[in-house]
Amino acid sequence: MEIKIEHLSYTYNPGTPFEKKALDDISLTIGKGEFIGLVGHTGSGKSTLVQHLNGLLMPTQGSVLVDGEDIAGEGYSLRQLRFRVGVVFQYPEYQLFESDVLKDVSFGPKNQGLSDEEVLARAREAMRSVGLDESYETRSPFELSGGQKRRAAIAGILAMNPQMLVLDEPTAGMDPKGREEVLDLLRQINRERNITIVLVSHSMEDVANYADRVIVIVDGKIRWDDSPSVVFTRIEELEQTGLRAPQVSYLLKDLQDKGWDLDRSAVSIDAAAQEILKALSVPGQQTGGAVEESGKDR
Amino acid sequence: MGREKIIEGSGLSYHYTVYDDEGRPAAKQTALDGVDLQVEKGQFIAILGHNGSGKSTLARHLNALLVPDGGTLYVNGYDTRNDTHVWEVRQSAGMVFQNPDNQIIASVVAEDVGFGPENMGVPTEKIWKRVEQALKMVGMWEERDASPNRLSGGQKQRVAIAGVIAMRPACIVLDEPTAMLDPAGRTEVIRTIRELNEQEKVTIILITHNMEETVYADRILVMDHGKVVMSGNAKEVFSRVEELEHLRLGVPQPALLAWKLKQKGLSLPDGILTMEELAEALEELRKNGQRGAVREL
Repeated sequence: MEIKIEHLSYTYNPGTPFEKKALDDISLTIGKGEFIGLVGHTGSGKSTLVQHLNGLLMPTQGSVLVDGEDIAGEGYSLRQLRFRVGVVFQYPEYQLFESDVLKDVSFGPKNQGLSDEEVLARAREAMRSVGLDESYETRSPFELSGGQKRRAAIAGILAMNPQMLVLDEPTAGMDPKGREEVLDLLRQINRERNITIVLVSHSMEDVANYADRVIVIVDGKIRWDDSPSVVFTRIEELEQTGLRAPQVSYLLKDLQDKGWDLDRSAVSIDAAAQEILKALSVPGQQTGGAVEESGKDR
Repeated sequence: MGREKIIEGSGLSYHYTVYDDEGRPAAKQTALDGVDLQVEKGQFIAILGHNGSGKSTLARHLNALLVPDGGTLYVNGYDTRNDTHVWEVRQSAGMVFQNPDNQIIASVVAEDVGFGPENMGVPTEKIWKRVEQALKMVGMWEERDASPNRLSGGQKQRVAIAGVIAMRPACIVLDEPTAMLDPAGRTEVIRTIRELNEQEKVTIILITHNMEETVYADRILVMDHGKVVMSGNAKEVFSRVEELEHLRLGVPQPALLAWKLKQKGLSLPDGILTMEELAEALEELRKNGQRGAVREL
């Protein structure tokens, strides 16, 4: 599925003293199978934008086209859209409510009007793909650890077979290992099932490590929309908007300022380590260019 | 050192009771298992541990929300098991929790901060003096007449901290105070905590999942399965990368990158915690022609 947003603006409470323009002329296309990091401060409009992706909000101006169809059009099934675009809100485990995990994960597909067997198959598959084996089926969701609860909540969305998954800070409050597990799970879902992922995050490091594309929203407008290696080398401009780059970007810039011959486009720890090792072992300036080239190929 | 001890815990144990469907106690779950904890006046202690490692249970012992079922805990000299001292204990160890929206009760910032001292029976004119001091310390004096619901998450946490400071506790215990904040809010709160510790000599016990927030602590305790499994300053603790990963934790990004480079054969010094330190160490290597030391490429 492809979502095309054209000149989207959204104003809260129009025509009242509380009127506030949250989105201002946003245009972007989200293609099938992308892994997008959506970045911006609290109040930048990113949550407002996300709510347009499954029709929780409708544009004040402009349009949202899903596979070419305008979601505000007459007769457009928002119900179907919400099955296709799954949204995982912050602290999704607070929304677990059934007496066991299998029932909870089955709730979505059951609502889709599927047969009992189909519901069961979907729920089991979703549980497996988040790493919860059969022994969890009969356990109360409230007995699970924090990380397991969150994975169960994501399974509940996956069971509806969405084509796109939008997650608002899915790792908030988790320990470092739990964060890594959830993010690895998203990468796996993205790669193996070709589900589009839109990850809303405050962690530039997570976005740098997992996303193929970064969209930076500042004051309701798209400020950057490019690969992490392009966006995160603009350290000063990012800081002017109150954001920052991943920590390794600062290191590489510092080294470059000290006269190192290296490519600053590495944004993950591993890529930066490679770049530093390369820079240290390259004798002289002449071969520097070639190394830079091969660095970009990765 | 012989400095005054604010917290003295030895052999602390605590078990949660798990109840069955009929509400009968069915099992015991160990949350704290023989924890020794000594905190001196003016120290900044950070406690790390994965979800479920027991760190919040420990925090709840420090102001007698929970009392140990084994071992002893003295807070500011008061035995927390002795319930005649519960108010002294709570005034000694002020708590700040994760969710900024659950801790503010009044409709005006200054009144919220005054709530604690008023409850303690502090005379009115002294309350206002304390409120002013506390709000100035956390940089929220300008907002004293504001309504808390118009503040950002970081500002609300600073008001919550001011509310604790106004009770003049011997130490402040913060249980993941930045977990629900955005990066700007985190920076504000951590800066406030450091200033309180460095300038006002307030004793700080910070529980967090964010490794970067602990590098300024005098001592870091790492918990696992209700036990303290590591203790030391940031340089010592964060050089143990593999052990920390095993405990479902990580290390700050600069320490991780330094560790990875060392694995590849670079001879970098131990204890690198910031990107500046790493850049300097790398520059040193380059100047000294460390090329030969790179084993793998």
